[in-house]
Amino acid sequence: MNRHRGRRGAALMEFAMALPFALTLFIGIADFSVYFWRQTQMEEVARFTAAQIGPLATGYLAADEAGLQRYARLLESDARAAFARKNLRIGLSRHYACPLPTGAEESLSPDPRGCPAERVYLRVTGDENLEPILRPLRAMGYPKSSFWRHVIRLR
Amino acid sequence: MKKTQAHRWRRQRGSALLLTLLLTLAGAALLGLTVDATSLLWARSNAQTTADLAAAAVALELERSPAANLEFLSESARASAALNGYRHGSDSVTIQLERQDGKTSILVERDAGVFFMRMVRPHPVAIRARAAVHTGIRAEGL
Repeated sequence: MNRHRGRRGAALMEFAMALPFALTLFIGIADFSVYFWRQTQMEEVARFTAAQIGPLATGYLAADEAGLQRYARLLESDARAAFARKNLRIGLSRHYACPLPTGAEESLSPDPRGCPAERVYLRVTGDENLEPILRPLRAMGYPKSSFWRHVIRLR
Repeated sequence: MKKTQAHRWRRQRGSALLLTLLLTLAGAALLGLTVDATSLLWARSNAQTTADLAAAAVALELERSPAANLEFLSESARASAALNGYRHGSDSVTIQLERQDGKTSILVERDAGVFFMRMVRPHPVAIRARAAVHTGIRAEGL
């Protein structure tokens, strides 16, 4: 009887030893799944945002800094509603580049240079904070936020 | 009878640990596969967005200068792709402008690294994305 109880205790002990590893593994899987899912969703948000910007390119070209920020808030609220992500943030900034005769271009500048056939780009960034259930994952390089950045040519 | 039962119990000792170990290994393999598959899906989606944006840039360039040659348009597509993290000629990235039957399209290719599948497939996986260039409206998919 005593020996039987001892064996049961050993099995319980083994289970207790294995449980933290199994739990860590499964919570880790959940945390990384959330990260990849968010990152994939961010890509969808990027495409959604680009589709919103495309037909209104002239508005984004003409807007001043305050206007761009207003557009950013509008895009943000549309994307938040469409993807049910209430902490999503979107930022916009306009950049300029002078084309080279080959078709390539000089590096981007935040101010217009006034060169012929100047190219105008809109940099769109989006991010949302990520909080893993397993906090030690942070030390292993788990990202602080899901993030994307795209540069759309306006002109 | 007692002796046989005792022998069976002795054999069963450690089985929970072994089972957990096997399950953990299976779980880790599954996790690895999931991570790789999802990162490939993400890379594919990212390449498609880059191709769409490059196609939109070429469409704008064509509106501005309809007589622009293929080389010039290729370079403007590459400039747009470079701004989106796909620099032609580096990190196995190629950006090509193709014209077939009067239709222009952008092909973005890149080798995507896998982490866990490397054990069964040591070569990187090639990611391809194509987007059609339409003048007058923005690129397909945008």
